[in-house]
Amino acid sequence: MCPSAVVTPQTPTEVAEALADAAERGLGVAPVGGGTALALGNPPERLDVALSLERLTGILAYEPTDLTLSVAAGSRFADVQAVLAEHGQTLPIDVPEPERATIGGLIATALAGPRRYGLGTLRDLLIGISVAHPTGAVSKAGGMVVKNVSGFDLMRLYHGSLGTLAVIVSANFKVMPLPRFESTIQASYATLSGALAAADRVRGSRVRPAALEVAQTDGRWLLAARIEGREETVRLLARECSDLLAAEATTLDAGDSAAWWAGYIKEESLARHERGVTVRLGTVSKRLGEVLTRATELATEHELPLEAIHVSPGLGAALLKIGGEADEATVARFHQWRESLLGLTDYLTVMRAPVEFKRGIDVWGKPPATLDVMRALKQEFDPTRVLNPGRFAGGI
Amino acid sequence: MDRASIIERLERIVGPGGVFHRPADLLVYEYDGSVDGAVETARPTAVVLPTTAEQVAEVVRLAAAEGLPVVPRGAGTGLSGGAVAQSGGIIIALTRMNRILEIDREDRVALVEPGVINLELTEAVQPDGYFFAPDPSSQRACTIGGNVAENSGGPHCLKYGVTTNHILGLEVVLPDGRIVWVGGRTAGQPGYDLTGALVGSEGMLGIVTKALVRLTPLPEAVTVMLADFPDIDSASHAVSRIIGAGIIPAALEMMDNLTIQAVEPAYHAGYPMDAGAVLLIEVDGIAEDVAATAAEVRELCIEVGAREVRVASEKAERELLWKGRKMALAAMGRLAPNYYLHDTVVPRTKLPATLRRVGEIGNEFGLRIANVFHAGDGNLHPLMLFDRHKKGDVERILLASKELIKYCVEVGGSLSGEHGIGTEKRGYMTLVFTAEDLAAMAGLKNSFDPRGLFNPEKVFPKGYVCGEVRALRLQAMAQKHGIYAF
Amino acid sequence: MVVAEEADLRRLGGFSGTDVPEPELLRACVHCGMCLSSCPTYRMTGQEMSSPRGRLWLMNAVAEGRLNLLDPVFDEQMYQCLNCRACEAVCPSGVHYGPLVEASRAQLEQHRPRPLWQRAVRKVALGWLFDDLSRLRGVVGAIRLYQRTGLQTLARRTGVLRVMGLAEVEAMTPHISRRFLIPGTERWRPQRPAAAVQLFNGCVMGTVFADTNRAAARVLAHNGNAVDVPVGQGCCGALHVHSGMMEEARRLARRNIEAFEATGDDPIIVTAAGCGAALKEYSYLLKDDPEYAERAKKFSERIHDVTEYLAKRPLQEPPRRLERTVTYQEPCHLAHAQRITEQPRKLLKSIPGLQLKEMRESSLCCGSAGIYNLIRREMANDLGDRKAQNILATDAQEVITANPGCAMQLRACLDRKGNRMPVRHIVEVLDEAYGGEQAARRGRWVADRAGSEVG
Ligand SMILES: Cc1cc2nc3c(=O)[nH]c(=O)nc-3n(C[C@H](O)[C@H](O)[C@H](O)COP(=O)(O)OP(=O)(O)OC[C@H]3O[C@@H](n4cnc5c(N)ncnc54)[C@H](O)[C@@H]3O)c2cc1C
Ligand code: SF4
Ligand code: SF4
Repeated sequence: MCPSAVVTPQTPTEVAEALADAAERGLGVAPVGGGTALALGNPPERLDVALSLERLTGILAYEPTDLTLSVAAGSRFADVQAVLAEHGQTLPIDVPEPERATIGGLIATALAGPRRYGLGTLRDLLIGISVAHPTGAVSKAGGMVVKNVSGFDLMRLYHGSLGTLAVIVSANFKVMPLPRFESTIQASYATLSGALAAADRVRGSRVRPAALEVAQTDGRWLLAARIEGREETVRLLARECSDLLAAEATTLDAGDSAAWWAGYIKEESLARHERGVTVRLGTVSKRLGEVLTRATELATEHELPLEAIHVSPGLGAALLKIGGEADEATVARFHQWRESLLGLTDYLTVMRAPVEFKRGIDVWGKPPATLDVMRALKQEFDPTRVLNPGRFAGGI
Repeated sequence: MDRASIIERLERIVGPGGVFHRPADLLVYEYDGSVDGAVETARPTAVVLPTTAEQVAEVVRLAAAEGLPVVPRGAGTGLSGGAVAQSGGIIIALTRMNRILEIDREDRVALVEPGVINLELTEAVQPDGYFFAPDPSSQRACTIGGNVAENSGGPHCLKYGVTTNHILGLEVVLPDGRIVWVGGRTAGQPGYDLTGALVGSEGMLGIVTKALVRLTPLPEAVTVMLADFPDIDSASHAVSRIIGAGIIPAALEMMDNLTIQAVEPAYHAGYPMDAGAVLLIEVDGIAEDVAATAAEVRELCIEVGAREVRVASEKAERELLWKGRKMALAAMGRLAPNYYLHDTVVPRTKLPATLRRVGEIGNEFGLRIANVFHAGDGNLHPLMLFDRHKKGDVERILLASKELIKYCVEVGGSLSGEHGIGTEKRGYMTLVFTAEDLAAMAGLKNSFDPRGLFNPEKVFPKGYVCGEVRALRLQAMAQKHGIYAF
Repeated sequence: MVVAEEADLRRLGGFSGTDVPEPELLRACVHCGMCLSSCPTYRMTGQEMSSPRGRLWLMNAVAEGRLNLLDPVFDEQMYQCLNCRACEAVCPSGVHYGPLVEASRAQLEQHRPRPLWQRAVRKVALGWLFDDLSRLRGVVGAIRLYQRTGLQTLARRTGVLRVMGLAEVEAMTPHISRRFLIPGTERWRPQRPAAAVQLFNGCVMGTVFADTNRAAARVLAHNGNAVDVPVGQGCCGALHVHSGMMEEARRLARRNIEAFEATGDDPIIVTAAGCGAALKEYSYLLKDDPEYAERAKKFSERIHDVTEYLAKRPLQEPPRRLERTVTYQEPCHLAHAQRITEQPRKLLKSIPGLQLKEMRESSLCCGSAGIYNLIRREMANDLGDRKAQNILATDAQEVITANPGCAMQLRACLDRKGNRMPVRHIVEVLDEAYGGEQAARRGRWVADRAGSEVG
């Protein structure tokens, strides 16, 4: 679907005005940041205007000694990280396309990488937010302090709302000190269950890695644990972690570690998956092995090639990449596969797929139990359905 | 329906032992933990103590049918008037729903009813090596439901995060009487983050009937330090240095001289009586790391002028150092009959200036103000000492409070770090938030509770009734564009 | 008339007459709620009026004239309170709850029209019986007879007790000491006395639990104290204070003060936590009595719980090892009213071989609370069951406590669970470690009959 117009407002007020204008004319608007996650969600019901935030950039306030940062929504993640790095600080999240992804987009999609396991997501770092509404108003919530209960927590409401309630124009974060050192311990296993058992041992230990992943490579399962902190401590924990793995372990230190993870995270980029379907599924950690085994069996049954599997054992989540062309037969088989997994998982989201795969389904899977509350929220914030209509869960 | 029939219906729902309606019974539900004068007391029409979510839902449906307000209540330790039935109606007290339903050691979560007492959850999971991280000073009395509603914090939230970081899912009764689950064991479910929206919503969006909470592993080693500073400025400076050096202590608390003067003679925690301020710094983690971090913190404190840094790693010694901090309020209670505790937050770099201003305000209004607070996250707790039975004292306190809050907002701070807005601070909301900001918050309220029956008269400034929200939004728009106004 | 005028002067809203709750004490409560979770009646009911804060608010409401003194809710709550003082021990603002609830009860006693028969029963039960301990000894003697003669078994079998509504009372009735301890008739002397102490005998302790008092005396003597039981002493009056019968309580207090004044400044040792708390508060009870106020203060300062006194100095190493696991139930009037929590534990830990395993909620009231368990059975039983559960969860072989009421209640609630584990006073365990009665013969100290009871 192609928008008939692109607007590039320069100020929050201009964003709001553009929205109000669209609302008045009954147009559909898609806010666009770096365009790295445009694949996410259902095809919108209506798309007339692409509202680009590329001109809404820059650090609005940064107080390194306070560890707080306010930044315009269109700012590129890499640019922000560069400024923070000068002061030895960071927003500790994993972004596959840091040069393209924008702060606003990261908040709206709530996409989070492996370090979500140990360090959380932007949800935990967001201390304030400003958004533009289809009424033409700009509003804020939260503030520039690290602890705040004044008024409702709209930060968390907008986080992950995929631009369906309002358009994020700026955000305030508490930032973190850059880890002084890091190591990654890796070991390879013949079976998924072997790798998951090792991961369980690490989870139950005092190692407490920032990230703990299991990925399928060349028919084997690679476990990787990323440990951050003071150098002596990291080295000590790295040894303890190796002992827990019960397999030949290798250790990557400092730059090598960071580089390995950058590559791993890049593979999760939605923008780079040119073909096939990317699916994310979730269940409680202890059922993950069982669910994944079933998913693999079913994939074989349905002749769907599983090209990559990234598993986050501590989060009960996995990212699956399925190859194949978008022909009718494949689409049908994929839909069958998805259908049979829906009941086994807590959620199963089609993250990226050619539009043929998205037809006739809600890519977000089962409708949320509280869909009507969510609809009421949409009705309150965007009564004329200007913003990404139909793109979000349950067709919101 | 008349009152008698409503009572009868309520009794049918929860049983006669669970409904209170005699005047004297209602009398004890007219307050919460907030300070007299800052929050008006108000009497509910009836109080019910349900034992199941179904009962809660039925009561809510009855109230909705009768157009009666509903006010959820936990232990009533809230400090902003949240559990007071400002416009009457039914108080639903959740104190009888106090079971820990499940402790899942493998997934590190617990499923609890809302009336479970914060400290007792920690005590229940401690033998397995876990704790529930949010630790408000009221933890021996307050409930998890109240913690969720207020998004409560405590000293250890600096490192571990506040309540919202520890709630994975909630079972709630909505204003239309439905029982729904939001969130759950699996993070990342599609849809809006309703759990995030509900935490901190002060009982205005839904009544929590179950909470799925995260359990945090107990740290392997803990060291507590007491750093003695000649003045508040150098202590504040130390806070900035520690945080700036990339160290996140488990807790970082400051006490000023007036506090020390009150605490030390009563509890003999070993605080230096002549210190301008002391910092209580706790670092925790794995044993090898804690020692190194503690040494580093010690160095930083000395560098910025600490006269002495005492390091305690033995349990008894640590507890003694903490005792002074924990008993600080108690000690104040002995200096004056009443105290008014504020809860503003300022950016950490603004601490020295703000504390100076606090001192000035004390002088201007002839008040003694002690400071004992969560310095690590800039969350002030100035304690204004007064006697509510002395003529004019309450008025003076309220005026001084206004000055203080105004100043904190001016330097980029917020009204409340952990106690909530309730009725106490609703009048200040417009200092921080514009009509548009409030309209967005009201949008959230409206989508849950369009009739405004859940905990009315809270958070939003007076006169800001939910039915008027749309009108207000239009008004905000009109202000913006001029053209719509006529 | 002068009396009427005096009464008029003491008026605080709905309170009037003697024993009006003190306004300063009342106002000290800032309704923060920190006491709630420590209050047994709140824990059981979850209702605010059954919490310390609720009760204080009700008292304040009466004081402000917003609530009628005789409102049934007020009456109910003042008497549902166990007066366990757990709230006092945790209150950050230092509210003195005990004196306030006692004054409120005294107010109710003064102003409440009670049915005549109730007044009569109370007068006999608390007034007549405890006024002269020889009467009490007579009644307890009769009960002992009942226990010994097999009548007990008969009564139990026939269920006659249940029919009479006395089953609970019966279950609570402890095994009674063979020989009462009568003041002035026994004394204990170590070979080289380092100090002299006076034992407060009490009513129940001196009769039902006379052997416990003897055990205490032996342990004291073993640790270098000459022990006497002065004549003229009587019941401490705690039950009267708790029931709002202040005048009776004051009469008993004056008598005890006089009895012990004859013994100089020696520390007075108490084996019942409930008595100890009451004796320590004579200073408050008699503060408005010009003749006795000062004397009461001096008297109160001399009072020591036996554990408090013993823990002051290192104990003589007990010669016996007691290889067993015990758990400790804190009597409310020790832990909360007297804030004695460490000393008993210290003493227990000083016994070789003994393992102390803490139970959950060790400081939550067991439901005994004086005669509460006799008048509010349901609440008392619920609390007792909860306590029994916590005790059983420890796998201890014995429960140790330091108050007769608790011991009786613990026995009854363990019995209900079909468990016969011993419930013992801490001094009995210490005594056992020192070798008990036999140790006397080893000549470390002597116990002798001090001649006939004098006056
Ligand atoms: C001495 C003292 C120290 C304190 N220290 C701290 C501190 O360090 N940090 C801190 O954050 N707070 C502190 N507080 C404030 C207070 O204890 C917290 O806000 C606490 O979380 C309130 O819990 P509660 O159970 O008493 O709730 P209540 O006071 O009963 O209620 C508080 C709010 O929650 C709502 N509510 C209660 N239960 C539910 C439910 N199940 N569902 C929906 N809404 C509900 C009520 O409507 C009300 O708006 C302190 C209070 C006191 C008195
Ligand atoms: S008695 Fe003490 S703890 Fe209880 S509410 Fe009053 S002031 Fe708070
Ligand atoms: S004395 Fe005991 S029962 Fe009475 S209010 Fe205090 S804690 Fe509750």
